[in-house]
Amino acid sequence: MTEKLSINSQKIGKQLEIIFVKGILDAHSAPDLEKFVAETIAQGNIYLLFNLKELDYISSAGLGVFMAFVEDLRNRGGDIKFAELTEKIYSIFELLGFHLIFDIVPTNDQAIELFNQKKLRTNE
Amino acid sequence: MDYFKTLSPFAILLFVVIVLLLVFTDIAFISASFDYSTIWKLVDWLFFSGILGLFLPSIKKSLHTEVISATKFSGRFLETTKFLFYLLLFYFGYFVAISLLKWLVSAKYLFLFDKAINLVFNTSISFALVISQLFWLSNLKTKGAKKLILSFISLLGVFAFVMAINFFFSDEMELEENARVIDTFFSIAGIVIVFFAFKMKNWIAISSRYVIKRLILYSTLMIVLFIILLSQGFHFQKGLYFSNFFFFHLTQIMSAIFLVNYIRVFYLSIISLPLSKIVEQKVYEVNSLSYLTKIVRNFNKIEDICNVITELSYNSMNRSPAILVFLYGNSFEIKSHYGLNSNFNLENVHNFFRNIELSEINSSKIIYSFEEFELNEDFEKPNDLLFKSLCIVPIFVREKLFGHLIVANPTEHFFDEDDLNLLSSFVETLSIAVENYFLIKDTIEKEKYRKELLIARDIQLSFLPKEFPKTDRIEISSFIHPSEEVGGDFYDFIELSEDKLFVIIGDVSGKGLGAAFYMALLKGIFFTLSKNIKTAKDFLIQLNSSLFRKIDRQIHITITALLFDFKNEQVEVVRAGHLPTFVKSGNDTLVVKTNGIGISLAKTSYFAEKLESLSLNISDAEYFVLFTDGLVEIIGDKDINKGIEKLKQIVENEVFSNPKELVEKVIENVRRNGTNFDDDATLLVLKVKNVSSTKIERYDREVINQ
Repeated sequence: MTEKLSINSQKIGKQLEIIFVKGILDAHSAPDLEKFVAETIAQGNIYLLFNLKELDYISSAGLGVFMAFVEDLRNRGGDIKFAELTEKIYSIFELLGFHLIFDIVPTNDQAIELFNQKKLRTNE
Repeated sequence: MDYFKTLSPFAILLFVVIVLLLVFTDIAFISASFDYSTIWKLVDWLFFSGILGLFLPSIKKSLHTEVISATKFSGRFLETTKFLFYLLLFYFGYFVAISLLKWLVSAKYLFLFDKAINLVFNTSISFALVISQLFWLSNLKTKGAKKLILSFISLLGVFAFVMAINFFFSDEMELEENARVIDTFFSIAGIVIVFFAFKMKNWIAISSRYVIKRLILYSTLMIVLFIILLSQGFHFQKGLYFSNFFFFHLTQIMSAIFLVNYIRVFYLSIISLPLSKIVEQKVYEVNSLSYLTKIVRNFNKIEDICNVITELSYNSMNRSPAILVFLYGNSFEIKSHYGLNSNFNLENVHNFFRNIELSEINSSKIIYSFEEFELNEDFEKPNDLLFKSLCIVPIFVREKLFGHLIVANPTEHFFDEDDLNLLSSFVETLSIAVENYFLIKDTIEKEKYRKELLIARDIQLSFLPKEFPKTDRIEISSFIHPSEEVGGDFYDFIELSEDKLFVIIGDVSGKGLGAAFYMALLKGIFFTLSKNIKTAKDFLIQLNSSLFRKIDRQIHITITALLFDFKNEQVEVVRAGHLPTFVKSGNDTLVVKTNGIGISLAKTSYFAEKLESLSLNISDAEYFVLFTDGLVEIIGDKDINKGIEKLKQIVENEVFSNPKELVEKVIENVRRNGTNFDDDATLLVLKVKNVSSTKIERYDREVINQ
C-alpha cells in the first residue's frame, strides 16, 4: 500500500515552519500528522503554517489534529495558520467554523507576513 | 552401461577370463579328451568366485544408495528366504535319509525310487530357486529388469520343455552333451540375475532392527547351507544323486547365485545393525512428531497434549519417567507426568524443585548427571532421590519461559545430545500448541469484545428517541445506519412545551467507543439544559460552555438545532459546525449554512460571538432535511461537497408527499449508486403540517381571548 499521507516541512525563520500536507488525512493517517507536528513543536517552533495545496481529503479526525495543538501554541504566543487550501478543503473548514478560529490565507507569503506581524506585536 | 563403469578393471578381466575358460572347456568337453570331473569342478569354482569378484565393488557402492519402500521389500525378502530355507532343510533331511538307506539297503533296489524322487525334488528346488530369485528381482522398478525377467522365464520354460522331451526320448550321454549348452545359457542368465540383484538399492540400512537381526540369522543359515550344498551336497553321480545333468547344473548355478546374494545380505545387515538404532530413533521421532502434530490439530485441551508428550518422552527415552511442569511466577505446577515410580515420584519431584533454582535452568536445554549436582555444595540431594540423570528442556511460548519438560533416568550419564534433540522437538510442538491455544483464546476474547461492542451499540441506539413527538404539527421520518462499531451520530426531540419542539441532530467526531461515550454524555446534557431553553442559540452556547476544555481536544461535536415555536409560527435554526440544513418550500430549496463553530472548538465567548441564528416563518418552510457527514460522504463518494450537492438535487427533483417517502428516495439513490453504508449515516426529515389550519385555529383563539 502506498502512503496515503505525506508530510514535508520547511523551516522559514525563527520558530516558523511550513508543513506541507499531501494526500488523505483521516482517522488512520491523523496520528502520523500528530506525531510530526508534536516533533516540530518540540524543536521549538511555535509558528506553524500548514500548506494544504495537495491535501485531497480531510475527515473530522484530521481536523482534530489542529485543534489538539492550537491552544497550547497560542498560550505560548504562537499560532497555526493555513495556506493554499483547495476549494473543497476550504468548504469543510468553513462548515466546522475553522475559518473563524484560524487564519486561512491564499499564499504562504501572506501567512508568513501575518506571523511576522504577530511576532512584532509579541516582542513589543 | 553405467554399471560397468563402476567395476574394477580386475573384475572385468576376471570376467573375460572366466567366459573364455567356459567356452574353452565346452569345446574341450565336447571333443571328450578331458577328464570331466576335475576340469568341470575347476571351471565351476572359478566361475562362482568370478561372479563374487565381479560384484564385490557393487556391494560397496550399493550401501550408499537410497531405498524406496524398504519395509515392504524386506518383508518380501524374508518371506522368500523363509520358503527357501524350509525347502533346503527338507532337502537336506531327504539327503540324510537317502544316504542312510543307501548304507542300509542295497543301492540296486533304491535306484529307481531314488531317481524318481530326485527328479521331483531336483526339479522343484531348481525352479524354486529360480522363481524366488525372480520374485526377489521383480521388486525392481526398472522397465529393463521386468523385460529381462519375462524373457528369462519364457526361455526357462522353453528349455524345461526341451529338456523334458530329451529326458524321455534320449539316452543319458546325449543328455549330458545337451546340458553343456543349457549350462552356458543358465550361466549367462545367472550373471544377469546377480547383476540386477546387486543393482538393487540398499534397503537393509534403513530397515528396523528386528528385520536386520532376522536377516543376519537367515543369511548365516543360508550361507552355511549353500556352502555345504555347493561343496559336497550335490555332485553329479556322487552323494545326492542327480539323474539329470541339466537340473544338477541349474541347481548348482542358482545355489551359487543365492550364496552370493546371501553373502551380500549378511554383509549389509552386519554393517547396518549399528545404524539401525539411529534409524529406529528417527522413525520413532518422525512418527511421534506426526502423531503430535495430529493431536495438536485436533486438540481440545493443553492437558491432552501434555499427557501425550510425557508418554512419548517416556517411550522414546527407554522408559524414563517424564514430567511436564508449567511455571507460574515463582511457583510451578506439574501439568502431566508419565511412568513415575518409586525412584521418581511426585513427592521427590517437589523435593527436587525445592532444591534447585528454576532460573538456573531456564535459559537452555540441559543434561544433568547427578555427579555434577553432588559436586555443588549448595545442592542438597534429597535422600530419597534415586534418579541419577536428568534431561531438562525449557518450554518457550511467545519467547517467554513457560515451563519445563523433565525426563529422569536412574542411570548415570544416560542422556545424550540426540535425546535432547528429540525431546526438544516434542517441546516445540507443545509450544506451538500452547501458542495456538492462546491465539484461539485471543480470538474468543476479541469475539467477546465485539459482542460487547454490539451491546454498546444497542445501548447507544437506545439513546435515540424511540417515539416521535406527539404533536400533530410535525411529521418526522428518520434513517440511521449504524456503522459496524459504535458511532457518534445522534438526534433527539425534546418537547419543551405544548407549542415548542426542540430538534437536534449532531455528530461526535471520530468513530468508536470514545465518540459513543460522548454521545451518551450529550444525551444527559441535553436533558439538563433543555429545561431552561429560551432559544436554540442559547442552548448551543450553554452546551459549548459545559464541554469546552472538558473533553478531549481532538474530539469535537457538530450540532444543528431547530427550535419550532408553533405559537409564533417561527422556527429558529442554529448550526454549530454541522452540515447545512435544507429547507424546502414548494419548489424552492434553501440551504441554511449560517456561521457557527463546532462545539468545544473555541472558548464560549468567541463561540457565542460567531454563532448565527436564523429565524424562519413556518409558513415559508415545509420540509426540513437534516443529515450527518456519513450520509453525504457516501452519496458524494467521500466528497462531502459533492454529496451535499447531490442530496440537494434529490430533495429538489424527487416527488414525495411525506418525509418517509423522501427518506426512502434518498436510500434508494444511495443503493442505486452501488455504495454500501460503512460509516454512521443519519438522515432526518421533518414536515411541518397544517400550517394554514393551525393559523386559523390560533387566530380563532386569539379572537376569543379578545
